[in-house]
Formats: sequence, C-alpha cells, structure tokens
Amino acid sequence: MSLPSRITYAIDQGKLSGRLWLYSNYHCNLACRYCLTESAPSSPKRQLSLDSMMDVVHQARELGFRAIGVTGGEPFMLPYIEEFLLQATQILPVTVLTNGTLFHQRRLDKLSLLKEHDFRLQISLDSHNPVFNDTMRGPNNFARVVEAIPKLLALGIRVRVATTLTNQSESEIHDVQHFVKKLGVPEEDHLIRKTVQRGRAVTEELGVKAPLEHLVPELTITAEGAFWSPFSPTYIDGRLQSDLLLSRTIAPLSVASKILLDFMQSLEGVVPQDSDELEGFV
Amino acid sequence: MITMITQENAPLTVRKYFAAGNPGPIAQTLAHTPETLNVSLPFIGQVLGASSISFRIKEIVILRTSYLLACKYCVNTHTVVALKAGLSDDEVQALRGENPVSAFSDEKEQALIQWTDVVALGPQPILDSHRSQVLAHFSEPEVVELTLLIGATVMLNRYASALNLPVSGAHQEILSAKGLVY
Repeated sequence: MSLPSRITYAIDQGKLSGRLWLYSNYHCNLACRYCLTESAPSSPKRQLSLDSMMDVVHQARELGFRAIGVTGGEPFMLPYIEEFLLQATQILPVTVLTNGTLFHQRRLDKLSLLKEHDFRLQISLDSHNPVFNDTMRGPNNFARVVEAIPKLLALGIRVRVATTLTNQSESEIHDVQHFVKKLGVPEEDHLIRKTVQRGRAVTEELGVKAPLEHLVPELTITAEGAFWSPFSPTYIDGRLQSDLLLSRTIAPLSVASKILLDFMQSLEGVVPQDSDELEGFV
Repeated sequence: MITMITQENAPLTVRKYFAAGNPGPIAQTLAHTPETLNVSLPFIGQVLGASSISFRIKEIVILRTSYLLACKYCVNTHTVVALKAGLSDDEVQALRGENPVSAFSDEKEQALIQWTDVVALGPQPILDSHRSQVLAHFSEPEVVELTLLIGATVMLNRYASALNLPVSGAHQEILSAKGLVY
C-alpha cells in the first residue's frame, strides 16, 4: 500500500488525526503558567520559515492529510504569518491557536481577506474573571481577548474559544461558558479541557499526565523535528522532552509520516484510546 | 559535551534499546536522532556483535583498530570486552601498542592484525600481497566481514573521540583494578 493510501486508511479508521500540526515558533508575548512549551518573550524562537511551512502544507495535502493546525508559541509573533495563512488556506483548511492579544487594526484588515476561506482561530480564555484569567495567562490578557473576539467575529472569521482547566470550580466553568456565549461564540465552538502535564505545567504541578495511549496521533512538525502529537514537543528548563520525538527529519514529510504509521502499527491496537481526561488541541 | 538521552527521555521509536536501562553513550547520543539510531544500531550490532566469526577474532580487530585511531573511549571499553572474549592481558597490551605483536603466536591472528593495520590506517594503497596474505587464513566471506568490521570500528572511533564519550564507571573500575586504564 502506498504511503498516501496508508495515511488515508488510518484517518478513515479514526486511528490517525487528519490534521497535521505546525509549531510555527516558540516565542510568545505571554508566559502562561501551564505553558507546555515554556514559551515567553525571551524564549528561543525555533521558528519555521514561510517556505518550510508552505513546503509542509503542500506535502501534507499530497500525502492525504486533510487540515493544518498552527500553534506555538504565539503564531502571530511571526512577521509572515498572514502571508502564510493566505497561501495555506488555498490548499487545506487551517486552524490557528492564538492567545488573541495581538489583533491590532492592521492585522484585522489582513485577516478579513480570509473570511471566505476554511480558516478559524482558536483563542484561549480561561475565566470570566479577569483576575483569575490574568493570573494564569498574564496582565491585560483578559481585556485584549474580550476586545478581539467580537471584532474577529464581525469580520466573518470563525472563532473558537479554548478554556484550560486548572482548578476552576463547576460554577466558574458555568460562568465562563455563559460569558463566552455572550461574546458571540456558539457553544459548540467553546472547548473546555484540562491541560497536559508536560513542560511548564510539570514545574507548576498543573494538568493531567498524558501516557502515550491517551494521546491521539497527530503528526506535528517543529523546527526541531517531527513528533507524535502537538502535546509532544514540550520543554522543561529549556530542554526538549524528546520522549515523543519521531524524527529530526521534517522534509520530506514522507519520512516522519512513515515512521509514525510504522510505529502505530507496531503498537497493534494499543493506540489510540479515548480518554475522559484529555481532549485534543481543537 | 553532548547530552546523553536517558531511559526517561528516550524517543518512542527507540525505547526498545532502553528497555534494560541506559544502553551506553553511543546509543544514548544517537538517540538524539531516532531515525538514525534505528538504522545504525542494528547495523553496529550486526557488524560488531555475534556472527559466524568468533568473539575473540572480532575483538582483536576492534581493539587494534581503536588503538590505531587513538580512540580513548573505544580502547578502554573494548579492553574490557576483549578480556571477556578470552584475550590475555599481554595480548590486550600488544593490540594497544604496549607489547610486541609477537604476544600472538597464532599465524592466523598475526595475519589478521597486519590486515587490520593496513586497512584501518590508510592512506597508503592496499596491495594484492596484503589481500593474498589475509585470504590465506580467512575465507572470502570472512574477509568481507572483517574488513567491514574495521571500517565500522573506524567510524565509531571517530564518533566517540569527536564527542568525547565517557567510559562507564563499571568499565573504569575493571580497568583500574587490572592496571589497564588507557
């Protein structure tokens, strides 16, 4: 069976995610307490160039992947992110995970060009309570996000909100659901999930442990290699957690794709299993 | 220094090599690129490990080559392995250039050492007379295998020297007790 056929089969069988992830960069204007990648303004950028990201997108489509996810770091720290989105959305549907704090008017104008494409943003918001939210995610985060979401929706951009659970009570979860709905985001576009205990979340003792069998395989490409899932290329004390590294080779994409499929096959049904504890990135 | 990948951080596709603990510095550094480890370790295991050629003969080649390439890690590590393979202290020291090669009385082993010397060191041409000499004592498949063993050992010698790989504590103890630290 050819590699694209194997990928298509694995996706159709629900064993492999159809979404391929790109860690566009690792630096971020925030330094969230539970960040898997220890991202912060001073973090090493470890960024993928525009050409290498587009190369992955083209190859992903040829191999049978059906969507692209972009995460970081904060993808909107990259000067060429809009250019990438304009090109990539011509090829595959794209979702970008963002902290939602960098949507100035000039950027909104550029993003408005994407409203006709299969494109969506996933913005993090942990609480309806600005103090709690900003304790986890940084000063003024709440205000910026709450300002950005209605503007994006008004442009016709699909916005999902992701709430990361740490120690919020049931009533706090209810309140944030209500709040997000009021911002104009429909219930089905509000993702509430626990964080995974990797990266900075280990140091902060937050989140849930994520054994391999609880992580759906979602091929993930970073400047440092190809990984099992977007929960994998994490850092502790500046050092890569390499336990879920598939290969250092990211191009051609067929190398990492084959390693991933071969490894899945070697597990003989061990992976994936649904977990009540974990949900995907999107 | 290159960081050693440990059992805890071993990439998922190479965990089998870490199942019994940390597999030693060559594998623990190669694990930085798992796709490389996954092809190189079986190759190294096949060429340096058990095969139709005896353990003793293979260790003569490995230790001699490592001495010629001045690889401190490989000489120390394979001194311990060579002793396990049944070489005497005198023979080990002969291969390490500390005793005359006449410590080996067997003509076949002397021919092997000479073959190892011309192949490992280079860059002088290897003559028909050299090939005839080794083929007088070893079959063609054996010469092929032993020649590849010399080449693979040269590769590992340069790798281990360049990355300054550390000799294990257990090997250090054995070498110290016998006065054979290189």
